[in-house]
Amino acid sequence: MLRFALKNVLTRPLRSFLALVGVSISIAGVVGLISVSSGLRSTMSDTLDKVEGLVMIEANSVDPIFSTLPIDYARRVEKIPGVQACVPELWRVAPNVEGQKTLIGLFNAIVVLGLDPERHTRLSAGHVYSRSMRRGRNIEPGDAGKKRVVVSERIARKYAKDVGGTVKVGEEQFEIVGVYNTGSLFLDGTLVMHLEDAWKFAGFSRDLVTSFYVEATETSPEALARIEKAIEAEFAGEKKKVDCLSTTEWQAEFGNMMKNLDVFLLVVSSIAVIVGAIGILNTMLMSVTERVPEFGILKANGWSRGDVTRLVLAESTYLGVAGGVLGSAIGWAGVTSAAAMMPFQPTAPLWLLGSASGLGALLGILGGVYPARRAAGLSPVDAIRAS
Amino acid sequence: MILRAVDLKKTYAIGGRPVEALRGVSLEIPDGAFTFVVGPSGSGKSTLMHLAGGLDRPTSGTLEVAGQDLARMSDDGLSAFRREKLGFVFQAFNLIPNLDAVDNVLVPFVARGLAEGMRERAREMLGTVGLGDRLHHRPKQLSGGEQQRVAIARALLKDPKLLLADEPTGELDSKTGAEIFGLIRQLHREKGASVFVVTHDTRYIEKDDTVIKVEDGRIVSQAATEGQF
Ligand SMILES: Nc1ncnc2c1ncn2[C@@H]1O[C@H](COP(=O)(O)OP(=O)(O)OP(=O)(O)O)[C@@H](O)[C@H]1O
Ligand SMILES: [Mg+2]
Repeated sequence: MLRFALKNVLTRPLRSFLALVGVSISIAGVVGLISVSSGLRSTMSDTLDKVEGLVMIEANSVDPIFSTLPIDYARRVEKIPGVQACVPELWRVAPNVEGQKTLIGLFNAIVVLGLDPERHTRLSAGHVYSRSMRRGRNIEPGDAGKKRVVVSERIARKYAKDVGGTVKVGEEQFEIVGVYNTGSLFLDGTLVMHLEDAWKFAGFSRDLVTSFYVEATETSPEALARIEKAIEAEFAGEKKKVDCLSTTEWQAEFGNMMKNLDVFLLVVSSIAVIVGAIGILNTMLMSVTERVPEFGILKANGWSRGDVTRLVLAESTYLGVAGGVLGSAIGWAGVTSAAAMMPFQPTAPLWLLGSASGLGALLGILGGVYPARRAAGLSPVDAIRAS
Repeated sequence: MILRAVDLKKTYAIGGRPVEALRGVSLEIPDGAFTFVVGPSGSGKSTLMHLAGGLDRPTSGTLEVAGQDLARMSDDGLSAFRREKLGFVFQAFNLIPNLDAVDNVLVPFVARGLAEGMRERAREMLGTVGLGDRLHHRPKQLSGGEQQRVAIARALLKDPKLLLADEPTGELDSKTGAEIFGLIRQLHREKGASVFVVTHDTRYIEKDDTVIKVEDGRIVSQAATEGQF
């Protein structure tokens, strides 16, 4: 019977092909979306794993880019028990690198980070960028006012630059002294320079920075939470209050974002599933309608309702499985080629491809139920008289 | 008794207006009989055959075929009954277009899985009806007469208690028609099957056949012939 069902599918190539296209596109879409979301997830956790301390910003400013704080807050933070060091940071968007706009596209943005290497000697675990050096050297105290930068591997590749070369940021040329690579999508868009140069670049006065990186002596979430409270309390009476962001908070926030994304994925996938099932339903319904006399013959020859139902379901399941496998292959190919072009890695793991093919089978069965019932419910006489 | 009907009625409701296709048919046909059903168009011949074949249910009356009370059987019961006890040959379109001759002969068993040696026997049956060299032809590649032969081979393989044929030669020339009747006679003779043939063509009636005349949904005569037709 399975052979017979397969023949029935194969002898209507155009129609089967159309159903196949519908199913495989829906399934490829689901594979693509889930891959992107899981890629995003792993990129994010890569990033968060690399930042162990707290980031202190102006209250309610959300991101260091929108925050300004007096630089002397650092000394007050360092007096709080459990704080190892508090180093100033100045974050600015670099709207223009090498004469090209950088704000086009979500992952292309390049930011400038100014830091004070002298103060960084107090960090015991070091700073995320100094820990990730690949070539050349870190920004050093002697670089103050010398217009020198450290860039990421990604930026170096993008602008075809390397240690010893120069890069134009805004209207100024900077000499590249080092190349780092954190491997994180979000961290690797940063040009690191001396705070002196960043002040000049940003047009900031020398008593202001955007934020601080706070390293604690203990990195347990409880210790961090305690320090966070203490810091926020320290500046509660000031006009400029502060917020501390910890990896755990970011994780929570990111988790929330991903939850929304998951809901979105679920909705889109469900729509895809429905569309795919309707495609199969339509194909099978046309096929059943065309073959009314055929079902009459089968029934006259002793095929029961169940036999006819199984035949039609087998046909639609073939379509679904073929669409599922094809869709997984298309989705995988799409994800793989997109991964080469995107700064982060969408991943299509084997389980996803497997369950997408399974989803195809499910679509086939769903789309086949009604046509199968129709075929099974035909009265043999009507079917025979129809010929 | 291969077939026993008592006051069998079949009414179709078409657009709210009832059409009485059979208006009370009572019949007794002994085992092994070769029966012709004749009568004008629209008289109810096919309807009677469909009821006898369990393809449709009577509106009222009793109908026993091969010892089974068809009116009381479930759908699945009727399917099994058709699969195990009956063979069908219709006027045209007896075959599944997607299957070759061998698979068409095997169609009754395809859903349940083929027993060992069945395929071999199907080939033999096709040989018996003279299609030994057409085993893998599709219906489209066969002539009308060859298609009817495949249907007969299918009935032969089933070894049915009752063969039901509705104008099996209706679309064939007289020479091919005679050959088809020859095969049906062979099935009757060699397998001992009862045969129930609806036809317009009285030339094929032979001595000792039972002839049932239907008119306007009623049986007007039933006789064992001695050549008077
Ligand atoms: N499904 C149906 N719905 C309504 N009326 C029907 C249906 N099937 C048959 N009839 C009617 O029942 C009557 C008997 O039909 P039937 O097919 O049994 O005649 P027949 O003797 O086989 O005719 P023919 O020699 O032309 O094949 C006809 O009047 C026909 O129109
Ligand atoms: Mg008829």
